[in-house]
Amino acid sequence: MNGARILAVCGIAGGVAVSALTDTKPVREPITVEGYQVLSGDFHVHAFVGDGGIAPWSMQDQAAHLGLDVIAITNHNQTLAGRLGRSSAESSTGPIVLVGEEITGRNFHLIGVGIERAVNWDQPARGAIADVHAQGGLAIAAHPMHGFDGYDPEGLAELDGVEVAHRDTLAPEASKQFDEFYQRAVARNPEIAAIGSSDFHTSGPMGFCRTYLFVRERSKAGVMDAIRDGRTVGRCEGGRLRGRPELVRLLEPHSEALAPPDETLIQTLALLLVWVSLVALAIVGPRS
Amino acid sequence: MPPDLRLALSPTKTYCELIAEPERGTWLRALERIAFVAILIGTAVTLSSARRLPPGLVLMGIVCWSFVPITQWLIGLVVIGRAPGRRLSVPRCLELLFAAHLPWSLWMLVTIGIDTFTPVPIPLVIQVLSLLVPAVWTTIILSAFCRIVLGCTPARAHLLIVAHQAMTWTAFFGYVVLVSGLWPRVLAFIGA
Repeated sequence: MNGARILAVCGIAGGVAVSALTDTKPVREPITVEGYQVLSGDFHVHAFVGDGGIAPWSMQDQAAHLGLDVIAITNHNQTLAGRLGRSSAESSTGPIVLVGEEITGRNFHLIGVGIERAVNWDQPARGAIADVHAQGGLAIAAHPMHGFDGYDPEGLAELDGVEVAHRDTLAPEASKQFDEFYQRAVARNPEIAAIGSSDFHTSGPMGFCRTYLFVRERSKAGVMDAIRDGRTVGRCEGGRLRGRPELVRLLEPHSEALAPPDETLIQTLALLLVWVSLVALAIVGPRS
Repeated sequence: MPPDLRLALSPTKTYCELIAEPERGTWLRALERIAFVAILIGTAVTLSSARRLPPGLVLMGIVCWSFVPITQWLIGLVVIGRAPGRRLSVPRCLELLFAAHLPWSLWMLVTIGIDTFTPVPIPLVIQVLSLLVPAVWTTIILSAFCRIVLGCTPARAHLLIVAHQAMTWTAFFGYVVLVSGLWPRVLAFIGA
């Protein structure tokens, strides 16, 4: 049995080594459109010390590997993970890490970005939006399908953004609900930001759905201003660009350049080798 | 056949064989079991979450997720402490308790494997229902553990199994409620 155990350990070590050797950060030429720099962002990701799989202090590096320029760590009803992620990212020139929260209420989920303190979830959506704004943050309706769309007309008008691209939009029925909500929000606020978010937890990848932002400067303020002014477009990998038609048209020529980096076959095989080895190791146990 | 697999397939017989072996229980061996489970969980979750495995990230995953086997270890200590009739040392009992990891380890690895390597998402209902398999399987192994390793009467064994499962599921749901905003969803569901 020792032979099988040694083989399993070698498989894990080999897979990790191959994964590490083929691990590269994509280098992308800056894209400028009509005087604005275009950034890729994911404003709805979960980290550990929550229901995310990756430690908050590893999130910036992970975002860099996925070609993201900015992320917001948005655990449910807490900002601890976001603050931990930001503090470890501050000294780096990598992707911007913003503190956020997924305010998980009874009939709405609201992303608060650029806040410090957790917002009370046990109130109507409009109150939560006001609390986010009181902290200088941005309020984005998260996956506004049925069951999460409890915004009254006034609340709808107060939103800074709406998730229009999300892994749930891959299902036609849910996609229709996202579109309907976005149209209702646009009717109240024509400049509301169209947001693409992965809602990343423990199965990847982060940035699967992402937001393209037209920013004046690559900074937290630049990102927040772009969302406030609605200069954003959302998209899921392989899907269409969603948002204001004039912005979608501007981005279409750069669609390929902005796409997330592909996983290579060797990287997938390394993951598969590690997974098979883990199964084998679980079966043979730690020692005879 | 490896002992952990034998134990999963034939718990009573395997525990009888294992307790007949010379006592070699040390705290180091018991801790080794925690580390083993932490490596399985941490590596698998990192694989699924990051889809890349640089050593630093894997190590961080192992450290972060080690709270799961540590919690199980503490629950095991409570259960073993409530078995005055046991003849084996506490670390040996912990080692034998952790040898029952296979149902949950396989469930986690299969779930992560499907999620990572197939395009088919597992519906939440199926995920939740599939929890029954390792839960029931582990309860059967635990029953043998309490009777054979801890030397409990059937009645006391039942009591300890209930206590072990109650503590495990309380810890699990406590964590889920804390981190996933489950409470507002429950309130919405019951219309409160």
